[in-house]
Amino acid sequence: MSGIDMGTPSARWRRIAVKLVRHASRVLPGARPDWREALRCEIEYIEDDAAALRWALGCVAASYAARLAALAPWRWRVSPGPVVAASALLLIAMALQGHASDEVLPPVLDKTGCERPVVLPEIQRRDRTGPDPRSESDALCSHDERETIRNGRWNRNR
Amino acid sequence: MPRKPNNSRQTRALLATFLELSQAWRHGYDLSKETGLKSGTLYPLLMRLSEQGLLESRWQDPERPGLPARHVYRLTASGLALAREQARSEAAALGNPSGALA
Repeated sequence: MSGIDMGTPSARWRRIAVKLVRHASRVLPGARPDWREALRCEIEYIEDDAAALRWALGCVAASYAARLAALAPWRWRVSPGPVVAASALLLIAMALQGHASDEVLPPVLDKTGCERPVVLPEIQRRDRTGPDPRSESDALCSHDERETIRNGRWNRNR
Repeated sequence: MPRKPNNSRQTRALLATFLELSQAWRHGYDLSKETGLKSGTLYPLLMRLSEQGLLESRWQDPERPGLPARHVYRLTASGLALAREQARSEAAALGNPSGALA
């Protein structure tokens, strides 16, 4: 291992494999210290890095199966295949959920239409000169006032 | 109907591999290569056979300096008896009553 460039993909596989095997040995139930050590040591004898990674993945599956079997009080036999499949499905679901949460929804425009309130000319003048101490609701004129303004404009146009 | 213990295809393959060199200590990776079993299948089998007293294990000194000790396995007397019995029954099923491996 000392002569291998640790930046190559092969060396990365080896590093991942070693980490996986360490994880597997930690997951293995506590009553099996010899087996924990056996998992950690055996990988050092596997020359091929890709084979080491496959070996490590198998060790992880075996450890999780052993852990689940130890947890189950009814002592069901847990085979590693379904455990791996369930873990893969869980990872895919988590990845999809993460992808979905990254999507940004477009802003929803408020399409409720409303007429622009008619503002009396003196209020418009006040707006230009500065804030009005009266409340804003006073700026809106009543229906009758609006009619009066419209009639006035109409008369001017005539 | 209850399953017969140690009668799966993988267990039979492992026992047959042990039986080929019954007195030799075997490593996990070598057993994996010989039986074609992945580590995820092999180690649970080894652990189970060991818990049942059919397999014994020990630590072997490192083959080269810088390498860790290695866990090695071989069948106990009862494991050997079971492996021989299974070999005989398989040979009988194939029409060879004498047993190819016994």
